[in-house]
Amino acid sequence: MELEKIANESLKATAHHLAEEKYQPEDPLQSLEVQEAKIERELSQCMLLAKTRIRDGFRACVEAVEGLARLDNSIDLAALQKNVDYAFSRFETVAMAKDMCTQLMEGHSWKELLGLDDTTMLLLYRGAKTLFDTGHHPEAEAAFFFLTTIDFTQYVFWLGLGHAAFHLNNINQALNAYDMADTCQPGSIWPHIYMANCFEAQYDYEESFICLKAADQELARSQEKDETLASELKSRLQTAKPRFGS
Amino acid sequence: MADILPPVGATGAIFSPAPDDAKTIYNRALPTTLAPPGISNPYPYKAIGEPFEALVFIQADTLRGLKYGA
Repeated sequence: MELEKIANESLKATAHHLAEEKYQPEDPLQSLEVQEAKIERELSQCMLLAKTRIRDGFRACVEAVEGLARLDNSIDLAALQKNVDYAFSRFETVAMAKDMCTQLMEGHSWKELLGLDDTTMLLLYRGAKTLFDTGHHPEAEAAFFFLTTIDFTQYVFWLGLGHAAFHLNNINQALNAYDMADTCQPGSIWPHIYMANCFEAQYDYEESFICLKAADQELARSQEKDETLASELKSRLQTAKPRFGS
Repeated sequence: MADILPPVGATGAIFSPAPDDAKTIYNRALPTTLAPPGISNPYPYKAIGEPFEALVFIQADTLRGLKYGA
């Protein structure tokens, strides 16, 4: 409860700070208070969404892993439970939680801070991937949201979030996720192609073309040559160019 | 590694010369394995261009309430 209180205080401070930055005294319809309230509302919604998705995503991952374990004897559910429960029990005191929050802001991940091991992460990922592969996109989206929360350094988690969000027609979230995937693995080609798909879905052909161009450049720089992809990208660029005027 | 996902950019196919040609470009699977951590800090906790400390505390509050099987 205390963490939630800190979060709400921090949210108010952020909203105030952002409103002050955006404030234009010459606009009588947008007083500082109105701006602040608007930003606060947006941030609150974002936090509420995060809370729900983390919970739903964790549950979805675990249920999917349990489904996999029924068909695969090598999955050790007891070990998974032990590691997960140990990890989340590390929030023993509010002081410990606060300390971990500080470390998180400095660039550490929850995976590191909570001691979630690689086997656990791989299993949870397998669960999320299964949800996506079997077309359970809302559950997959939540699962990948949870995974990106736990470890924001994983390229494939962002890719999974992007794919699931795309299928749910949540294009802006997909774009953000692909952008993060690109940050995690600079030089990769696919986030640019997926972003191009997103912009096409939004009928923004110019941005789509820019993304395809970026993919083409990355491919040219890449050590691994993929002739099929190169030729497909080239023809797609040729087709995409006339879609916007210039 | 070889499993195939449903096309990610189904709507994008209209911009390729032919749907068949578009296949390879869209039908990419999510990798099966995880990579070792490769980046230090992409700083994702941002909202409207600002560090979003509140979100970190909400994450902590939510994660501490999670329990396997609950």
